[in-house]
Amino acid sequence: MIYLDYNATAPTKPAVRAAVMEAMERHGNPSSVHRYGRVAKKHIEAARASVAAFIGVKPAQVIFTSGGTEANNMVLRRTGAAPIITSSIEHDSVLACAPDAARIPVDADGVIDLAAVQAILAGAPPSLVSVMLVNNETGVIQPVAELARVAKAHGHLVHTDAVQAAGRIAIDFTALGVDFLTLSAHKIGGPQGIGALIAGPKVTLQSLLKGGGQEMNRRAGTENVAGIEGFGVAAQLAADDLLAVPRLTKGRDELQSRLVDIGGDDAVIPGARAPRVANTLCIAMRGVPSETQVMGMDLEGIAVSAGSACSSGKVKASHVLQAMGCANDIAGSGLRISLGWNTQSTDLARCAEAWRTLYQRTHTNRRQKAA
Amino acid sequence: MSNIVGFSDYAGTVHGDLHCWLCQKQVSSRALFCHHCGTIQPVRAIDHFARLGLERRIDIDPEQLEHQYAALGRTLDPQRFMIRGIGERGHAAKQLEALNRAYEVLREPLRRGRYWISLHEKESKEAAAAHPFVVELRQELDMASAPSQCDRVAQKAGQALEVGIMSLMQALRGENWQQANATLVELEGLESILVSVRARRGKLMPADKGKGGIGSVK
Repeated sequence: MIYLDYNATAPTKPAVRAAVMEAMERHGNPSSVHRYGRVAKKHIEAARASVAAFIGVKPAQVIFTSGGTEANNMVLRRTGAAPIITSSIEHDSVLACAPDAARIPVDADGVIDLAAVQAILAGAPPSLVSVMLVNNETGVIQPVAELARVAKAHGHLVHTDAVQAAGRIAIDFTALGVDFLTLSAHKIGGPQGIGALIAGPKVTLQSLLKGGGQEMNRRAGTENVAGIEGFGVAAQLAADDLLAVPRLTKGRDELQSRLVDIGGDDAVIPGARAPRVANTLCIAMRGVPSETQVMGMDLEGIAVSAGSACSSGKVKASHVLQAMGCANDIAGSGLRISLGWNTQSTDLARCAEAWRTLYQRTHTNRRQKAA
Repeated sequence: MSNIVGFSDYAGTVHGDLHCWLCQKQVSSRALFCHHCGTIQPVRAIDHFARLGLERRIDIDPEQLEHQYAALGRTLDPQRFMIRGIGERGHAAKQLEALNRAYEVLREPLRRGRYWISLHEKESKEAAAAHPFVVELRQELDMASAPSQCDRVAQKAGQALEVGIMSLMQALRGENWQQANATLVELEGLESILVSVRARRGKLMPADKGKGGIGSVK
């Protein structure tokens, strides 16, 4: 079985597994003052420094959470009555926290419309603006730095969900100019169940969870020591993922060309004209439901996703592709192929052959039905 | 069996031909860390573009260069290796030095241009030496035991050179730059054969007859 679903979760890197195992062989609550507690605390702070260096902030700005969803909830729900402005292509964990939020539209390439941003932000009361840095389905990079400049000029706070950007592009919190940023460890080869919210030095944050003074009173509950240590190692190793970007781009582009050659007009690449992260290829096989494609690829030994893999295996028309103005025969037919640290050229070649088999089979079936 | 024709030899982050200095597991030449044991790796012989994770091109995006440099520099910050052993501290320091050198060259357009040309020239020479016909002629020359055998190699190289020049002109007229470049690489290889023929023939000629022996060979 070939795994090409790194945007859902990246396989855990061996050094991360070793760090997690080592941590689990120790015990000690980081809040305890005895030696066991102090050792656990020391390891957490080393991991915090590693995550901080990863995106260019001070360690005190890193708040460990149970993952990206909690971090998004934390920042979006902490504002109380403050209005929220977000985009139409956000992850469910953002959209569900702000069902009534004003939505920034995206263009046909999946990039937020900066002209619309100006109009929406200029007339809004002080709000929290939340726009993802990289879209999880298309891989399109959003102009968050430009958005933040406009938003700040109008007195808004800015949050970016950078879960799919981490390890794919170099992230610099200060250069982005945001107030909050969400990270998740398992997208960069770290363990599942651990993430972080990065908070700017001048913002205050109320804890979503009550009942403990951990994380400097910003997130109650005993820390996930093993997860945090694994996250720290993954954040350090992610530097090598940045070095692999040129080769990854080449592999993704070669795969894209091959699939377009096979499918012709039936192979549509949403977001292909926009700047994209190197590891993501969104391809729609026109008129073939995403679910059918995912199952077909699975039968051929290739693990990929239909858009976002979150929730319980549900597959429906992609809200991202719909927001980009794709017709139903494209929006319901998106397949997400995502590459990563352990992808080989043979994996890409087999993926292309599996897609060819699937394409030929579905079109033969269609012709037979039509006849 | 899968068909991998058309796909580059892409091998993720981890796999490579080298081994970690500590755990001996596989590492890529461009990797800063071993992904099996997490240890910082020694500086490897890679080009400046690869060291900064950039596509090798003259018109790099300055903003991307700055972001890559900043992110990699933070990863290699000596403070982060203070509690590590002397070996790891040394490798981290050298990696940072290599990163800084690469950045200094790539950030200046003029230096970047000179470096890019030097890389291209070096690779052209390597490609020329590896061209199949050039390799064949070189093997024939290595086995030559008489001046007449050297002359035969020179004759073959000379003929191929003439055909190659015609082909080059045709490619240039048709603005087929890829073909022109490939032909140039072959021509460079053939020229180097002619130089080697002269040296080889001189060694094989008796001392008093060796002067000016292959004046006809350019």
